[in-house]
Amino acid sequence: MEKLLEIKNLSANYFAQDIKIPALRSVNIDLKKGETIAIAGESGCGKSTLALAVLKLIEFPEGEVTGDSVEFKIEKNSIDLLRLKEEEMRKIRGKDISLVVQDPYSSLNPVIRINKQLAEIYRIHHQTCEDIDIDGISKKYLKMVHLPEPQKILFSYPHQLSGGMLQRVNIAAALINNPDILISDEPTSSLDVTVQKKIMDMFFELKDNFNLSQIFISHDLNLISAFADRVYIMYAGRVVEEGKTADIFTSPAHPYTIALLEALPHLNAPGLDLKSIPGEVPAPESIGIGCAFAARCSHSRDICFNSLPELKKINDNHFTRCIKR
Amino acid sequence: MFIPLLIGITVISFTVMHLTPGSPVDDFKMNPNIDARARHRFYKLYGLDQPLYIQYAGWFGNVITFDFGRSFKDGRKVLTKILERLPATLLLNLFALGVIFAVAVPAGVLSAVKQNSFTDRFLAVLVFAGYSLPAFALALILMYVFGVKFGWLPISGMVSVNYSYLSFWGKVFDLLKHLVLPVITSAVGGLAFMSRYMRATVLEVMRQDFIKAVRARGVSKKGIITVHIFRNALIPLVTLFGLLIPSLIGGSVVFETIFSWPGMGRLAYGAIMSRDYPVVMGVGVIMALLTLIGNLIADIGYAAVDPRIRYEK
Amino acid sequence: MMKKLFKNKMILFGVSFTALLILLTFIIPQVVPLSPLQQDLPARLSSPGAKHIMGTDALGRDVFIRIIYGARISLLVGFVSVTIALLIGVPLGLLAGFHGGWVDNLIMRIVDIMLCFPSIFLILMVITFLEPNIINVMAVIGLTSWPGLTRYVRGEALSVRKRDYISAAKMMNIGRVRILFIHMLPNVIAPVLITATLGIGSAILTESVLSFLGLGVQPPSPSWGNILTSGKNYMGSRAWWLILFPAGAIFLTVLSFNLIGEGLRDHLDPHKKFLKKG
Repeated sequence: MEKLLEIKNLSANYFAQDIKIPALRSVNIDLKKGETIAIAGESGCGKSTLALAVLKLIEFPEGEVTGDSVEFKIEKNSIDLLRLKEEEMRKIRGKDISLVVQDPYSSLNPVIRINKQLAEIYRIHHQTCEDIDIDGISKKYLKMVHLPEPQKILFSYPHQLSGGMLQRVNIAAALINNPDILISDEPTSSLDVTVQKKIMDMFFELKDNFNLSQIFISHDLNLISAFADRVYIMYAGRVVEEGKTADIFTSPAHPYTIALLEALPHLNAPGLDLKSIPGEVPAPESIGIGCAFAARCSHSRDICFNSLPELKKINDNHFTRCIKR
Repeated sequence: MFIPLLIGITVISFTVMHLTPGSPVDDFKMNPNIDARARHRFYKLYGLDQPLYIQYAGWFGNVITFDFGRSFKDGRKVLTKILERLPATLLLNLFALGVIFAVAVPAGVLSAVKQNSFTDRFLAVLVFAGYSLPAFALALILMYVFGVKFGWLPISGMVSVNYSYLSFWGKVFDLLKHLVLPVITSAVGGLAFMSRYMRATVLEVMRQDFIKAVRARGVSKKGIITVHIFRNALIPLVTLFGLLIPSLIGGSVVFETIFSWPGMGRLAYGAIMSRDYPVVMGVGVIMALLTLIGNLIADIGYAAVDPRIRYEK
Repeated sequence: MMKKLFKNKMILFGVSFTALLILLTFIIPQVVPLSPLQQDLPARLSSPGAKHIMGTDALGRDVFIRIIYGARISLLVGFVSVTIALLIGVPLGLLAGFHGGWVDNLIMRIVDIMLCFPSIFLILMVITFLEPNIINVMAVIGLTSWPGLTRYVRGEALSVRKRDYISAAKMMNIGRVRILFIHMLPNVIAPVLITATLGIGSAILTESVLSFLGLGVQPPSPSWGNILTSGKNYMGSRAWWLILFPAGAIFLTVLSFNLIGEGLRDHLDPHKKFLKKG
């Protein structure tokens, strides 16, 4: 299938005082048309930075985005997002590539009504026609995300809605311009468990009913195993393993992936002790040249600390960055 | 809040005024035509022979019905005297407020958006200078430069001698010309205060998480500043409005005196100088009232710009 | 510590100018035989020149000498009235923050009222009914400028009170007054120092306004404010030096204290930097 987005050697650094903090290190990811990929890893592994970096939302003085290219196919043309000027990039954000952020409470302007905020997103990406019924369009999308009483919600302020409702509004806002790619960064993790389920149901619905390609960022491997076609496992700013969801979950190759899966509670084997990963995620600025996981890995050897393992092929879709393979 | 504040302010000023040496009849003592009997009559007439708290109670009872008594000097009603001066003071201070907001808000936003740039540093220096500037001395410098040296602007009063002969627009222009220097001097202090505050506020809003989410939807930087940041920065701005009022009103005593502006501040200065108790107290109450009205407007404005407060029940 | 402080250009400028001013108030009277009251009648209202570097006033008195003698008064008023404000404001703030309850309520209510009312009006009222002289000016400025300090100290005291070591001290049955002064005062000293430094500047400013309005230092004693009064009176004679020099003196002095205060804040309280660095 055709590749819609091809990320090559993407890196991102944050600037703090006088030091550079590398949050994302030469990441390669691709997304095919209609496909759903998941980016998995513990907090602090660079997942969220990836979402911001693709949209080039990290910039001076906060940080920088560097890399070879981010090829994006749009109407048979291919453009490199990394080379785009801010004004052209702006036209892609929210139109061709949308982002749903983690915390629904801090993703909308607290002092502006929902209808104005939705209208703004629609209007900035369309030629302005005065006669257009923007509230009508907004209402259609609010219905699509199963919000009851869209009319009432349209004229509410964010603080009047619950977290689950706000997240639905955010998803409606992300969909309102019919994007090609939807990036969602932990869209359910700050919600109640019961609400999480409903929001996830909606993501499944979007996957089935829209011609959407999705990048789903999550730390929840259970969710990912049910939802994604392919998975990228990230650790300390790097992709350490990638492959089809089934391959990753049945035959994980990287010690980190294996450890992650072993730490997962199983519904069908309750009472089984959970394994935890010894040690802690290293601070991004203190990672050496070798494999970042080496210090916590039971298989590590001297070479692991001294040079970065090559990306090794296991099958056509399955790759890992470990010398063991 | 209103009632305890009013009582507090009036008790303080009433006590201070009556406990301090000197009395309105001091002037009479010098006058050989006024004997002890007349002095006594004067005391009785104004209740000055009563204990302090009785005097206060009587005075406060009258104040509630907007009766501030009569001036010691010319026997006219205090309220009438104040009301005929009030418009001039309001005019001056409203213009000053307008200038403060019109200059400080863009300046504050600009220096926050271009944080640490040359513009930002330059404005910071200006703001710092504004803080340390003796506004009354600046008034004299401006008077000298624009009034005396170049003769471009009038330096005293509110209108020219020939005011009543001017056409409508002539009158407006004349008034505006008289306003320029008093407004600038009244605004300087608040201007510095405001633009610094505005800068801090905008920086704070810029760091909020929703700004990134809004940018991710493709809103331009300009749109973010003019719509999203500005709307949020308005909220603390309104509080400042309440804080500016007392300093503006207090300043009007000084600046109206310098520029011979026929307002309440100059009336107060004259009354203080001649120990005209009823007028001083009356002006004090009106000043307190204006301050409170300012705070009230700020509260209402707060609700207008922040929906989270409006819908709180 | 001192070395580090002087690396800050704001503090360096502020301290240098203040030191220079203090030095001049001591040296000039020794070196120059002119008194601030000495009249040079033939040279009345003469513009700045070789004989009188800042010109003379309407009575032929040397403006430079008067400004130097005026500096003594300004600095004195600044330091003394801030000391008065400190002596009232800090104990009240500590008391309110530490005692809480109705004491806190009462004190803060008074503070609110005083902060809400235009203080210059209160000062003007009080000073008119007192004899306008330097002692009363210092007293009145001191007595009206403590509320800001009280509010600040109370806030700091409240936050310090919540920290563990105060409750530890309480548990060990240490007397309240002792807790108040031995344990809490050191924590509020830095912010109080900043507020006090800024307060000196504004006290100097207030004194000059009062003297300008004829309610402060009385002529013929020299003060920056009453030199400006003569500047206003002789504006028609285009005696610009009677305005510019005292105005400049007030500006630079107030600026110096503000610079020291803000510079100290950068060091002691980095969260509230004047020019926040991102």
